[in-house]
Amino acid sequence: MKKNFALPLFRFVAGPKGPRALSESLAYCTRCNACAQSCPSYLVRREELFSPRGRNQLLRLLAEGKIKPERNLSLIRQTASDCLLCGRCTAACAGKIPTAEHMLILRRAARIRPLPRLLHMLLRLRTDKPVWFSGVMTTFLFLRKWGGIRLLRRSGLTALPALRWIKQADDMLPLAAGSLRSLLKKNGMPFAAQRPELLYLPSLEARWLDPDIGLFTLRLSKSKHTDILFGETAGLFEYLYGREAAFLKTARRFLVRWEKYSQSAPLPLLTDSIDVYALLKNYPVLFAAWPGWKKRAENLAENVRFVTDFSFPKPKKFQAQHAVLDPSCLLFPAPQECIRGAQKILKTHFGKNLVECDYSTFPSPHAGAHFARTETARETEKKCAQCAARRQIQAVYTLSGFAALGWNAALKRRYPSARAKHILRLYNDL
Amino acid sequence: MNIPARAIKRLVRLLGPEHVLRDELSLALNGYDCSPSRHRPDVVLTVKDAALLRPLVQILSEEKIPFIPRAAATNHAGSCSAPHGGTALNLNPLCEIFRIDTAHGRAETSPCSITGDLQKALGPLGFFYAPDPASEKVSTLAGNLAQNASGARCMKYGNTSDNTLWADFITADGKEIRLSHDAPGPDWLGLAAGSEGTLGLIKRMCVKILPAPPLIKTFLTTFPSLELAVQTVSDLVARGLLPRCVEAMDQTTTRAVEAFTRAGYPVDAHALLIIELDGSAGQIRRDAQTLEGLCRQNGCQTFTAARTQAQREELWKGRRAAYSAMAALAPNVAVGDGTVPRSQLPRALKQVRQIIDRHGVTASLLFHAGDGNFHPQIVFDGRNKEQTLLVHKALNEILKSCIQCEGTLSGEHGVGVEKRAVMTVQYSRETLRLFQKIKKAFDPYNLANPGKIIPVGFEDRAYSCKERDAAVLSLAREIKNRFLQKRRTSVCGANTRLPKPRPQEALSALALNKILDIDTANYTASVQAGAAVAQLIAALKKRNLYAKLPSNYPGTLGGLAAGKVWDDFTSQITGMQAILPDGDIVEYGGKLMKNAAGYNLCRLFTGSAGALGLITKLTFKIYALPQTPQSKLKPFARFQPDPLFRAVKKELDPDGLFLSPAFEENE
Repeated sequence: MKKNFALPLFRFVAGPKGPRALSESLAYCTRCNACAQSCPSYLVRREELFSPRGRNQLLRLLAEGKIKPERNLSLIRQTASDCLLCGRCTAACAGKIPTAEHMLILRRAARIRPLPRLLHMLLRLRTDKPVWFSGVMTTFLFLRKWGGIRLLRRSGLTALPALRWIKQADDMLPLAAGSLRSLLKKNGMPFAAQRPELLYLPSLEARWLDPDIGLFTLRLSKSKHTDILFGETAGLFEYLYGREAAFLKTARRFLVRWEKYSQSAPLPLLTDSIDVYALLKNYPVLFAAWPGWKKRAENLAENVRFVTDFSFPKPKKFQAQHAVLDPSCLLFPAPQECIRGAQKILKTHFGKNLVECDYSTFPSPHAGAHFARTETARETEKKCAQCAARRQIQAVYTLSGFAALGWNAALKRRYPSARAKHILRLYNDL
Repeated sequence: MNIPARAIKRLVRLLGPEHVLRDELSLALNGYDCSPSRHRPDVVLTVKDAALLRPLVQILSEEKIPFIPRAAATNHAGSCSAPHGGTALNLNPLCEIFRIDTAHGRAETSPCSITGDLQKALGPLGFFYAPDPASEKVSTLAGNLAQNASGARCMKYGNTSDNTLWADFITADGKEIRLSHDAPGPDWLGLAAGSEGTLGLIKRMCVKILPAPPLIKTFLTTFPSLELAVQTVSDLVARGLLPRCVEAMDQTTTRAVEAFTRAGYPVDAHALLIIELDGSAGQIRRDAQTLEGLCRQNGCQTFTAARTQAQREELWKGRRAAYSAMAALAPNVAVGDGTVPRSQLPRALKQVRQIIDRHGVTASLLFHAGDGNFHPQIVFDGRNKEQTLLVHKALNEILKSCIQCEGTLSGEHGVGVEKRAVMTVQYSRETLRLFQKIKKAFDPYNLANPGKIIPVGFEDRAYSCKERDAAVLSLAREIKNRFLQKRRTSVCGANTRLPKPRPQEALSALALNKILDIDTANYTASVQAGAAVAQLIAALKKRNLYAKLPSNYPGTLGGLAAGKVWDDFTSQITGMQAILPDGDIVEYGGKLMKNAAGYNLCRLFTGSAGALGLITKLTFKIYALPQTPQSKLKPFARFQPDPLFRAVKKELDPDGLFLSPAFEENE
């Protein structure tokens, strides 16, 4: 175990102060504890081990060899899993230590696999065997449409631990008519241009779970020559859940593919998920150890666009309902330009009805909630729903499809008066 | 330390197995705070219910296991580390605000309620809690009380101890006592404040809340030198102007802050003052005119007033970011906490700058100019051992230079394990011995946060009492003789309230009647305890000075303090000297507005009614304007000594030679 538990101390970590080696980044913790009250998981547990300070000190102790990982593996896994990766601790920290990034590194080192094995394998297929994944998803959508999943539930098979996630997914996911490809075809939208002006990388949710997001993205971009990177992934799943080597392999493959398109001039790359955007923007830091790849990654990062970069159609009058923006992002640092852009857009739609919430009362149930133990995730959900109810919020706008799904699951249970939507839904609402 | 299995079993039965942590990781993560000190406890106990605190301490006391109370652990002194092992009590789950009573101006809370949370809860009600330590967003109320951390507003509103009305205190042997400033006898609450958990635990507390001032106005002014800035603050106080807070920064800090967050501070100025006034619009207008006049008179370069709330926030943004700005320069920041009398600030700052330059370290100087409390922030890389040693050496030298300037090694951060070695420079052997006796009286088995405050082996290293006054020395000799001959002593002053003691027992303090010093730079007076209050008021009035003293009190100043008959005066005492029943002369404080080093002896002797020793000298605050009395003259109350009093009395006067008519046991 000890041999396997190797912390990559010289690995570069992205943070507001620029990339720093992990060992350097850890050294900046002065143990002032200014971060504690901003951490949702600490506010639930109120134990040092679950505070950002405790997490950084844990890493430091591991790095210095002062504690033995094999003896404390269970607690290490608990604290690393309970971090919601929200990055609020970094905002409160004087040294701007990216604790969320540190926890990702620890998760990989501790080989935490939070997802059920079957689901994990399925999501791995997305990168490794995109055609197979496409087949599985098509079958899933077909079964869902024709009552197969309902039958599975009725038969009681979804009570099996390995299949329990199917029931959860069925509860959580909207009933999509089909995949993005079929939706685009139905709407007569081009998706394989000869000379593309724009590359669109649909997120998992835009491609399969909620294809409207993909459709609205393309409508918003107003580009007549768009090529869609069907079957391509930027490596978000591998980065969050897999091994670093697997992520690097996927990322390199993605870089090469983008470069192939950008032989004459670099093509802008559009994404509908803030998580994917943040990952692509972080590519240069993640490739910092390989100068050649780093340069190529910088080129790509310069050409990444998010949906908030486009101008949304303006409404004739402000919407009457109270809305709030959930700026959470699964990666750190959260791209502030996207959040600012989204706030501006929402302001034009809601005016004074756009509510601003203090994060300590409004932590997103999306950020890392599927990692956190039930106790922490439920407590976070409760806080969000309470805050939404107190402020009479009717719409929560998110910057990724997954965030909206997470929110909706939480709101359905605790505050059904409100709904969560991807910000692109504004386009639809008009 | 080896904790017996039987004790663990009892703890598990009381708290539940999930709250008794013995794994390597939890131990390693509960042995540090914001200081470099790291010592692992042997067990970590999480307390989720305040009702369990008393039985828990009883078990620990019976099993003779040391315990270290631990809340946010934000202190810079190493007060939360466990050099002797034992148990770390994680009290963080006790964070409830029970009741906010705006009608009576108080709030009842759990010990670990976050100071910032209380402020947030009070804001919409139009109230505020006066102490505002820089770490208020994370630090806890009981933690603030244990360190007596007060922040910038304490110049006007007093420190955390003054703003606490009562506290339910659990002693090291598991007894629960309600401590308050008003109870007859010594001010145990005042003594427990700043004791860093070495005397016991706080279970529940009630703090004073104040109506928010109708208007707050913030000013930014810059000076060509630090001396001029400090002079301006002294002049402000001399004019009777009491700002809400006066914060100062030197040029290094201003530049670092401007580079970090653009707060709009002029970077060419050598010193910068942020002054905040509060009150009614008319009063602020008048005070602002006086303030501007004084600043201009002292050669200020700029004088800016914040016109809107946004501008006010902007001015504070830089001050609040000062720590972050320094933290951005290097991985570690060592923060000092020396405090000197206001008039000594320029001298102390000059010495500190020399020390910083001599050691070649990068440091900023940030200070609460109104209290003479300054925080040098030295940045360094903790991984570089040589650099770390150099920084600690520089910090120690800074503390020593503060003590040379009649100051203290800690104004609000406490002593912990980090600064206890320097305690031998500040306090005499006799005073440190008294600290040890107080600790022993409260905690005979040294279980409550052991190894803090009192330096190891001080008997060899501390200096002997330096008192030169013949009258004090002769009284000390007389007391020592009586102690050796086991003769009884009854201290008496003017005997205006009590019957005269028997002549063979009487020991008059009337010979100590000198007014030693009236300092208009610091606005303090040092007076011998035998001086008559009326005479003192007259002497002050001649110089257009005032103190919070009762005009109709016929007795002596010592009687007023020892009898605790005038509540206004208790919080005004900043320093004192006393002779103990064994003839040792002890001294505490001075012309300091803040002192968090050691136990607050002023509060121990206030209300002791001569049973714990003879007060010989008092230093207290004076004012340029007449003070409206807030309290009434109380009768000299007799009372039944509580267990704390008996324990302290037994330590200080084991043979019961010092008699006092105030305590019923004597009769």
